[in-house]
This record gives sequence, C-alpha cells and structure tokens, in this order.
Amino acid sequence: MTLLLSALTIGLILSLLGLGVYISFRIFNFADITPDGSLTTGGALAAILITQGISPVWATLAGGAAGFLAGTLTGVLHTRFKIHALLSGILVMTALYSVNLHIMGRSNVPLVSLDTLASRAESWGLQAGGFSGNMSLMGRFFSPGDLAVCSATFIVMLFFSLLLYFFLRTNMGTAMRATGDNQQMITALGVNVAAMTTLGLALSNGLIGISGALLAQYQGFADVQMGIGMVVWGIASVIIGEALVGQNSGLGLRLTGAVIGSVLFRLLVAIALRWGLNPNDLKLITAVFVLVALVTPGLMERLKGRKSASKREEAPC
Amino acid sequence: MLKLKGLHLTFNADTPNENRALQGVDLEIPEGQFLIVIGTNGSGKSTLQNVISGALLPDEGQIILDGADLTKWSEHRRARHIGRVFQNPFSGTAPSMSIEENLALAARRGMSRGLSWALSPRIRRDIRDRIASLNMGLEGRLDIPIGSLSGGQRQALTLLMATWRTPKLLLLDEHTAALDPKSAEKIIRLTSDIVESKKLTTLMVTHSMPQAAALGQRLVMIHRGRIVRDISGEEKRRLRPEDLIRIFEEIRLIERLDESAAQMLRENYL
Repeated sequence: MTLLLSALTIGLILSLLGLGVYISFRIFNFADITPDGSLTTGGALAAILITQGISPVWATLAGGAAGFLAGTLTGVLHTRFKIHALLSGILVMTALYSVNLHIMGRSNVPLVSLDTLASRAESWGLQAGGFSGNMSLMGRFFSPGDLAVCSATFIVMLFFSLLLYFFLRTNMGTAMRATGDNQQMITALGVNVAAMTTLGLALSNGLIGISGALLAQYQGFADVQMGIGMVVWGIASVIIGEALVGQNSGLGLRLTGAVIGSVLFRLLVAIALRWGLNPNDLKLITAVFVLVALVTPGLMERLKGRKSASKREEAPC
Repeated sequence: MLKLKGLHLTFNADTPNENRALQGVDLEIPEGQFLIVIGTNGSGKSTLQNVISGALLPDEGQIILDGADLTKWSEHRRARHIGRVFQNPFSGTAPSMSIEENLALAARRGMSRGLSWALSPRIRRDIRDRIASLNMGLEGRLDIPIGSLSGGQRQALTLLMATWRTPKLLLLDEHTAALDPKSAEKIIRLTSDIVESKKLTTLMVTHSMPQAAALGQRLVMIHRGRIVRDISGEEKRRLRPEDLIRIFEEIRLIERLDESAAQMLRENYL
C-alpha cells in the first residue's frame, strides 16, 4: 500500500505540472517544451536553497519564480523574435540544462535529513499519530507519516488549483483564455496578444517550477535529469483528464480533469511497474500512449466521414 | 473625426507580384457620418480598413482619429477607440467561451484588465438586459459556448460587442457577406439601428449594391487603390443600386479605353 500512497502523492505533485501544461497546450494551443528544463530548475533551485538553510516554503516559491522566468523567456523568444513555438521551447530547455547544473554545482543534490516541506509534513503526521506505528484505514495499513505527506500535498495542490481557477475567471484570466481561443478578436478588443501569451507561458512554467520543487523535496533529492520527458507526461495527464470530463465541459471541470488525469496516470504506471513492466520502457509507452490519444479522434472522424460519404454515394439515382 | 492623409501601401514591392494596394488615399470622415465604401475585388477597400485598424501598417501617410495621430499605434492600442466587425462571423467571438464571457471581454475593450471578477453580478445584469433587447431569445442561455450559435447570431453579438463601449470609429468589413440573405437583412437593420441611435462615425465596406445604395450618408468608391468617386448629400440619397452598377461599368470602360490607347501608342511610336 505504501507504493500506491507514494504513487498518489507523486501524482498530486505532478498535477501542478498537468495544470501548467494545460495552460500552454490547451489554452494557448502552444506545444511548449520548456517544462523539461523548468521543472528541473524549480527542483534544483529549491534543493540548493534548502541546503543553504532557507525555509522550504520560500525555497518552493523560489522554484516557482525560476520556472516563471523560464516561461517568460520562451514567451519573449516566440512573440518578440518570432521564433517558432517548438523551437523557442527547445532553446530554453537546452540552455536550462547548463543553468541547472550551475545552480546545483553538480548533477545531484541530496536533501536527506534536511528541513523540507515533506519532512515537516511527515513529522507533523507522526506527532498526530502519536508514534503508534501504522494506522489502519479501510482495512489497509498506512504509515501516518506518509499519509500526512500525501494529505499535505493534496492541500498544496488544491491551493494552487483554486488560485489558477480564480485567476482564469478574472478579467485578466478571461482575456488570457480568449487570447488562446481567437487572437484576431482579442486584439480587436485591445489586448496585447504577445504580452498575454508570454504571461501565460510564464504562469504555466511557474506552476511547473513549483511542481519540480515539491517533487525534489518529496523524493529527497534534485537531479539534473528529473525533468526529462515531463512535457509528454503532462500532456498525457491533460488528455486522460479530457477523456474523463469531456472536452466541452466548464473550466472548473477541465482543471479538475487535468489533476485527476495526472493522479490516475501515475497510479496506472505504478500498477504496471508492479506487474513487471520494465522501467526502461516507461517513456516509450508514455509517448505511444500520447500518440494514440492524439491520433484516435482524427481517425474516428475520418472513418465517420468515409461512412457518410459512401452513404451519400448510394443515396441518389 | 477620422482623417486619412496620403496613404500608400504596396505588397511584395520590387517583385513580379508587386501589388499597389493603396496609392494615395485621402479621406476625411466628419463626426457621426456613416460612410459606405465599395469597390471591385482587389481594389484596396479591405486593405484600407486594415490600415485604419492597425492590422497593416502603411508605407506612407497618416491616420488621425479625433486629433490623435494613430499611424504608429499598434493594433491592440487602437482598439481603445475603434470597434470592429469582421466579414467572417467566426472572427469576432471566442468560440469556446460562453456568451456572457465574450460580452464581458468586450465591455472592457481597450481598458486595463485586472484581477477583479470578469462576470460580476452587475455586468451580468447589463449583459442580460442588452442581449434581451436584441430579441433573439438568447438571454436565457448566456452560459452556452458562443461557438454553438449560428453565423447570424454570432455576427449580431459581435456588433453588440464592438459598440458596447461607444467607439470613436466603427469599422464594418463586409460583415454580412458570409450570411444567408435573411440573417444579412437582420444584421443590416441592427447595424443601422445602432449606428443611428449612438450617432457613430462609421466606415462600412460592402459588396452589396442594394446595401450601398440604401445605407449611409455618403459613399466612396475605391478602384486600384484610389478613391474614384465620392458621393454625398442629395446625390447619395437619390442613389439606386442600378446607378452604382452603371458607375462600375463606366470605370471599367475608361480603363479599357486607357489600355487600348496605350496599345495604339505603343504600336505607332515604338
């Protein structure tokens, strides 16, 4: 059960990545690949600040700010210098790899026995549990420490999700959604599309930086490789979420979908690994999964089109 | 109100595809005037609108609106003073967002957009009242995505959005060309209602000769990037669609004469 609880916690942490990808990929229809770098930047900066004795709360927020800056850079490259969306992300992601190494000074920063958000939640949980060993919940046994970490992650996730939801319903957030939906219209209503796109990418990568900071604290180390493949991971979460709540549902439901998609995907992966899936195949399977999810709707459409076309051919005479 | 001075714009300059879309357009529209612009395909009438709205920048010339020189302003900055309705009914609204969200966006055209609630109770009440006044039966369905409406409904809402905050200039770019005749008629009636009641300075481009004859206080015809006719006052009031078609014929005839004259000169002197 510890395995599932850990999968659930990581799923909740990465749901902030899912929400970030939702902003770039769904609101702006912008294939932003920066997260592969910015997630690590968030984790690296938070980890190094924590080893310097800075409060983990500030370290986490600093990780978010680093992601925000990375997203701003991608946005400026794309809107100001007219570099292709994908290439802007690749440039920033590649540059960040070196930046991340510089931040950490080496390729891996361990956080064992340091004061992190995870260790705080765990000790709080152990105190509340009265060091009574494992707790029983629905007939299963959990360590109160793990349970506390998972609950704390849930609260943090809920806080940022609600913040994003409320932001997207403000005047600025509504204009941001419209920018992704119809640039011509929102320009005619006086919104600077370039600035709005940059802000959107900054927010997206800010959330992802926080996700990286939390992930580093939960797993107990920051690693320069921790962001690799994360964009595809986020897209998979968003797609699973959409399959669950439908593409035309309201904003709140769609954000919830991205969160649930992330958790569900992580749980599925944990179960598959438990059943003996080779961990080396994980990224391949994730990529194939996203490919299938992207291609299927188009194929269905074409199949339908062919059917109705053949009907039309039969109809006259 | 709006002053255009010597507008020039050439696409693909110095290439075989060179297209001189505007070749010195001078035009002055007084406050509250409803101006109709007609012209053949490729005459430059849409280019003229795009230069005024800021979607295109002119090579030469000046655009002055209410005393302010807009020539170097970006498109989104000009939106503070200019309301627009496009030819494509899908261009003027954000399809995946609700009707009321679209209108709330329009209610802040050109204003700062901060962190206050987009759909406050007050703006919602306003939106319901104004949409009810369109008599389209949409006031009970304000939360549905605007993309699920018909082209005519969307164009009516775009018109409402463009004029929600009274613009100094209203630009209508063949805004009924993509609609069926019945919807087009409704939109035209709505257009003249709004323009008259708010006394808006309006520049409307149209393909339809009946519309050009029936609407507006003044008519300008553009041909090959130049204004070739400017009709106003009593003459505009008496104008019928047949007259406009006759003017088009005349212009075409003059052009053919020019060409054959040039041909003759070439043959005789070269």
